[in-house]
Amino acid sequence: MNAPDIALGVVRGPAHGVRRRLTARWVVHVAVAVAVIGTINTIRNPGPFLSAWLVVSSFAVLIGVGEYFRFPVEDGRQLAPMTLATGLAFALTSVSWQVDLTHLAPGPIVMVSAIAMLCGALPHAARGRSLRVEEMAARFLAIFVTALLFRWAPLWSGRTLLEVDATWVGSRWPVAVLLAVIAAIGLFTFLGLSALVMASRSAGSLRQAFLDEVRSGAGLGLALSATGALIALAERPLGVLALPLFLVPLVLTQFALRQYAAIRATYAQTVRVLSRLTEMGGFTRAGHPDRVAELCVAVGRDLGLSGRDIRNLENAALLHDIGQVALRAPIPAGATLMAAPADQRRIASDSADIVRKTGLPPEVAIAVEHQATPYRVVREQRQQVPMLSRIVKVANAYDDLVGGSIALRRREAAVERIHLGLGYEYDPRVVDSLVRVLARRHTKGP
Amino acid sequence: MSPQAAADPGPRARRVNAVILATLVVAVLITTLAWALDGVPHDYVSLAVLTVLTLGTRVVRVRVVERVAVAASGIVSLASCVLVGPVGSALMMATTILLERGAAGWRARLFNASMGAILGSVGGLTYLLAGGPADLTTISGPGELMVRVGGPFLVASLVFSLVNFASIAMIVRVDSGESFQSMFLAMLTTSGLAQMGYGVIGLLFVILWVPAQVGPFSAVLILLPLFVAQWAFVQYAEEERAHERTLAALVAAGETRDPYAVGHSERVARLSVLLGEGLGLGPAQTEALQYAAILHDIGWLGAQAWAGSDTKAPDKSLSELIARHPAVGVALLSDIAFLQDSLDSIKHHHERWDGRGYPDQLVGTDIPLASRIIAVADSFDSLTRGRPGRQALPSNRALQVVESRAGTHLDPTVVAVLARVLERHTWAVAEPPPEGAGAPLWDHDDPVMSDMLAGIDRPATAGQGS
Repeated sequence: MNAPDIALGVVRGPAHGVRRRLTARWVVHVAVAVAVIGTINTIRNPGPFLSAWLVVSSFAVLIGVGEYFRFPVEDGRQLAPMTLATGLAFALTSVSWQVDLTHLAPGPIVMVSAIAMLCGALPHAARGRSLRVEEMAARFLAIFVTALLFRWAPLWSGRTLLEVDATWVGSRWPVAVLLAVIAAIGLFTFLGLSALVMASRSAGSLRQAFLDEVRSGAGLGLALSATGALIALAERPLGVLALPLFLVPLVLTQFALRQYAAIRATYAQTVRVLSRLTEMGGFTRAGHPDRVAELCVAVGRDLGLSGRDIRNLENAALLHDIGQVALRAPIPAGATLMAAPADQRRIASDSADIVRKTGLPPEVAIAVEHQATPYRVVREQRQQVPMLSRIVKVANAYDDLVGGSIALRRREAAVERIHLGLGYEYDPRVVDSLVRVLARRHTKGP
Repeated sequence: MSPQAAADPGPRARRVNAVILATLVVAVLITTLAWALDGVPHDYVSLAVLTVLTLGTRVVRVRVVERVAVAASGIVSLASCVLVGPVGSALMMATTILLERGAAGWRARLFNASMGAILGSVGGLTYLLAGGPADLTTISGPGELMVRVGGPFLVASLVFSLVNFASIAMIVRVDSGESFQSMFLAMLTTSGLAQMGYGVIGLLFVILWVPAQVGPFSAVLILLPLFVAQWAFVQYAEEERAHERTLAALVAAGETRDPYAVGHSERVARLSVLLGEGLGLGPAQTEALQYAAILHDIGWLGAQAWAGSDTKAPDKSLSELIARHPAVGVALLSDIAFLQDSLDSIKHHHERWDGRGYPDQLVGTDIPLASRIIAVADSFDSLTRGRPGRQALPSNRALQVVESRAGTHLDPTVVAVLARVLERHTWAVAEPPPEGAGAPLWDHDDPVMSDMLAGIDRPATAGQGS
C-alpha cells in the first residue's frame, strides 16, 4: 500500500500553475513595451496629436474615468467597460467634426491610453489597493490591437482601413460593419488575454478559462464593441459630444452590472454564513462546510469544470449537511461518513429538500441529493450520478476522516481509507484529482 | 409602447366600443391633417426597414424578455417620427400593431392601431411644429444638431409619452372605472423617466441614421448595448429575488427543530416592514430592517441545539444562553457586508424600553429604532402563536397585551403604530403544528420571558397582561 506516495510524492496532473504565472507576467511586459514604443513614436512623429488636443483629451479623460470606476465582479476580476469602449472608439476615430485624425498613428493613441489608464488607476493604488496591472494590461493591449488593425495594417488592398474610412463616399453602413468587426476583434483579444490572466491565478485549464470568459463576457463584449464603433461613427457629425451621449447606455449597463456583481457577492456570503448554522448547533465540526467547499472547488478546477459548475459545486458543498439542522440529536462529530448509509441518505435528501426551497439553481439541489450515492451504481445499475455529487462525496469523506487536522499522518490515513473505497464507493477520477490537489497544496506549504 | 386595451364584452362594452370608434376617427383625422401639412413619406426604404424592425421587436416581446423589447420598440417608434415623418410613422405604427401575431381580440387591436397612428402623427407633427427640420441632411455641426434637432425631438418624445399615458388611462377609466388622474400620475411616475430615456436614445438613433449616414444598420449598433443593459438589469433582479428566497429558506430550515417556531422569522420580518412603513422609514432603512428582522434569531437557532436537545445536557445555564444569542447572531453575520447596517438592530432586539433588557441594558431611544420595531413584532408574534400548554392569542387580545407593555417593555410609539397597522391588515394567528412533540416548553420571545430575565417578578401571564 503506497497511498502516502500517491498523496504527497508524485504530481500526476499538469503542474501549470507556475508556467501560467509567467505567461500572465508576460502580458504585462508586452503592454509596457508597447506603451514605451508608442511613446517614442509619438515624440518622433506627433502628427495631428497636438492640434486635435480637445478630441484627444476628451478620450483621455473618459478612459481615465472608466479606469477609476472599474468594479469587481466574481472570481476577483475587475471590469472597466467604459475604458474599453472609449479606448476602442479612440482607436477607430477618423474624423471628429472638422478635426481630422486620419494622420494620427497608433503611437499617440497607445501613449495617451496608457497615461490615462494609469492616472485613473493611481487613486486606487494610493488607497492601498492593488493596481491590477495584469487586467489593465489586457485592456490596454486590446486598444492597441484595434488601433494597429485599423490605422496601421494595410488590410484593404494595400491601404489601411483608416484610409478606406476617411475616403468612403455614400452611405456609411459598410464602414459601420467594418468598425464593428475590428472592435469585436479587439474585444476578443481582451477576452483571450484576461482568460490567460484568470487561468494563471486559479491554476485551471486555459481552454476552460477562455470558454468561461467568452460565456460571461461575450454579451458585454458585443455591447462594448458596438459602443466603440458607435462613438467613432457619430463623432463625424457630433464631434466630441458623441462621447458622453453614446456612453449613456453603457453607463446604464455598468450600473446594472455593478449591482449584479454586488448581489452575487452578497449571495455567496449569505450561503457561506448560513452553512455555518449546522456547526453552531454542534451538528458538524467547526469549519467543515467551508473546508469541504474549498476542497471541492480545487478538485472541480483540476477536473476542468466550467465556472458555472464550480459555483454550483461550491454552494452544494457548503450546504451538503444543512439537513442536519432539523435533526433532534446531533450525530457524533457531525461526520456523515460514520453514520449508517440509510442515515446518510436521509440527511442528503433532507438537505436537498431545503436547498430546493432556496433560490439556488436546481443543479445544486441535485448535487446535494446524490452526495451519498456510492459510485458503484454508476457501473452496476447504469444510474446517472452527477459529477458534482461525486466530488462532494469524496471531499466530504476526506474532511470527515481528516477532521481539519493538518497532521501528515491523518492526511495519509484519510487518503488510504478513501482508496479502499475506490471504484466501489468513490469515483476514481475524482480521487485521482483529490490526490493531485492535495499534493499541490502540501508542496506549496500550508 | 402600444396601449393594451382590455376590451372584454361586458356591461361597459358599449362605452368601450364608443371609445374605440372615437379613437379610430381621431386617428384618421390626425393622420389626414399630417398628410395635408407634411405630405406622404418619401423614404420608402426606411419605412420598410423600420416596420420590419418594429415587427421584430414585437415578435421578440412574445418570445424573450418583455421589457427589453418594449424599450426597443419605444425607441424605434420615437425615431420613426423624425425618420419617416408623421404620416410614415403613423402608418408604420398602425401596420405593425395590426400585423402582430397572437395579440388580443380585434377590438383591442383596432384601438391599439388607432392609438399607434395618433401617437405617430402627433409625435411627428410636434417635432415639425417645434422647428425640427424634416430633412436632416441640411443640418451640419454638433451645435446645430443638438439645438435644431435635439430640442424639437425631446419635445416630441415628451408629447408622445403624455398622449400615450393619457390614452391608456382613458381606456382603463372607461373599462374598469378607475380614476383617470391617479392612473395617469401612476404611469408618469413609474415609467416617465424610462420614456425620456427612450427619447434620448431615439435621438442618438436618428443622428446615427441620417447625419452619420449609417442608415438602417444603426439599429444594430444602438439596440445591442441596450439589450445588454436590460439583460444585466434582468439578471440583477433575478439574482436579488433568488438571494432573498435563499435567505428565507435557510432561516426557515433552522426553525424546523421547534415546530412552534416555524415561520417565526418570516412573520416577524413581514410585520416589522409594515411597522417600519408606518413609522415612515425610507427604502434603505426598510431594507436593513427587513434583513435584521428575518435574521434576528439566527443566533438562537444555533443556541437552541443545546437547549432543546435531550441527549446533550446544556453546559450553560438557559438564561445565559438566551442572553448570549443576539451576540452569537451578530458574530455569525459579521462577515456579510450588506448586513452591516442590520447588525446593531439584531444585537439589541431584546433590549427593553425601561433599560432592563439584554445584552446592554440600553434605555429608550438609545436602542436602535429597528431593534424597537423588531421587539414589538417579536412579542406580538410570540403571543399569536401557541406553545405546548398555551393557546395562541387572537390578534386583538395579543394587541392588548402588547399595549399594556408600552413604556415598560416596549416603545410606546411603535406599539401605537402596531395598533394602526392591525386596523389595516388582518393578522392570521400562526397555525399550531400537527405534532408538537419535542418542542421546548418555553419561548424566549414570550414577553413573560422578558420580564423574567429583567428580574420583574409579576404574577401576570402572557394571556392576562399586567
